[in-house]
Amino acid sequence: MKRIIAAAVILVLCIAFTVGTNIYVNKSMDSLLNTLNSDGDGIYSLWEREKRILSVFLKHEDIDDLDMEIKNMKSYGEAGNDAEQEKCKVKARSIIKSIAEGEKLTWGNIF
Amino acid sequence: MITIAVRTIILYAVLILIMRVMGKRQIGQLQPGELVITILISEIAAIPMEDTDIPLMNSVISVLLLASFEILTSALCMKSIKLRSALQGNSLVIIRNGVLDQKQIKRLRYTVDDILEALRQKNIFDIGDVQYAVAETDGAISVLLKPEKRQVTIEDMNLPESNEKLQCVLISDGRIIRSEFKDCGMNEKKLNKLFKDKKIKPEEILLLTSDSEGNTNIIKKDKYK
Repeated sequence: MKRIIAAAVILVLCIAFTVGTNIYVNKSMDSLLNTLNSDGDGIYSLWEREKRILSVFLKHEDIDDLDMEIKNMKSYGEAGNDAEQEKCKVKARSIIKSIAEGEKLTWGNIF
Repeated sequence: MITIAVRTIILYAVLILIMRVMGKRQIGQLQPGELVITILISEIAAIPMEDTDIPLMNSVISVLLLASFEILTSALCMKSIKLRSALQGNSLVIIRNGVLDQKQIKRLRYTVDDILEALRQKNIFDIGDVQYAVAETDGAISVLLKPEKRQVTIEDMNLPESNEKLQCVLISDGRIIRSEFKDCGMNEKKLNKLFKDKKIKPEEILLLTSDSEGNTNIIKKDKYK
């Protein structure tokens, strides 16, 4: 009986965790996207805060790619190279959208 | 490299916990579904050990979900005969009075060679000696020999029964196992008296077993012999 209760509790916790993770990741991606679109410099601090937690749930390759683009954005911004900074912004936007899309419960993602 | 080591330790802890909760039987006694789950869990756990790119939580969640489904399914199978039958199948009689039930064998996709091999593994070399043979749900074959081919028992010879007593392990590798005291009517006082009589200390004993009548068997450690 104890095992059955433990199994039921684990099942509920797993479901709650996966749903919670999904909600958190989506919120995070929305927040990153909005910050990227509106306030250019705020993205750096926001990303530093978010990436630690996001790396627990997301593929590290995606985290690394986004991290690189955001760091490049910062470097180009500091160097005054607006064109390159804008390119990095576009790439970062694309990665964020792809991460958000990958976390959705769709037929494509399931199969 | 250290990341892999830490991941391995975490996954090992999770797997031990899961196996403990699932209460696994020996591989040979698992139902087909249980065997699949066990293999699947080990495969899933191995993936993030090798690939640090994959989040650890992916494996942990998958393993926990599989384990909880397995436990809940087996609990439901205990309550429902229909579900048990659907998931685990039924035992089928394949030999009656030395005659193969060819319909059942075909259904199970057994060959005659499979059955003869299973009988030989039970030291039965003549299918005619078998009264009943049952193909169990885990794939094993259980056999009941014809009465004239069975081993003689005490009951057959009308001999008085010998009262077999349960042997309890009281000391293992120098450590006293107090949880076994109850099964063999032992207590600290009796045990200390035994040590005094035999002039021996617990640390010197590799194995001490006893039954409820106080018959003990002591194996000393090599260095104290």
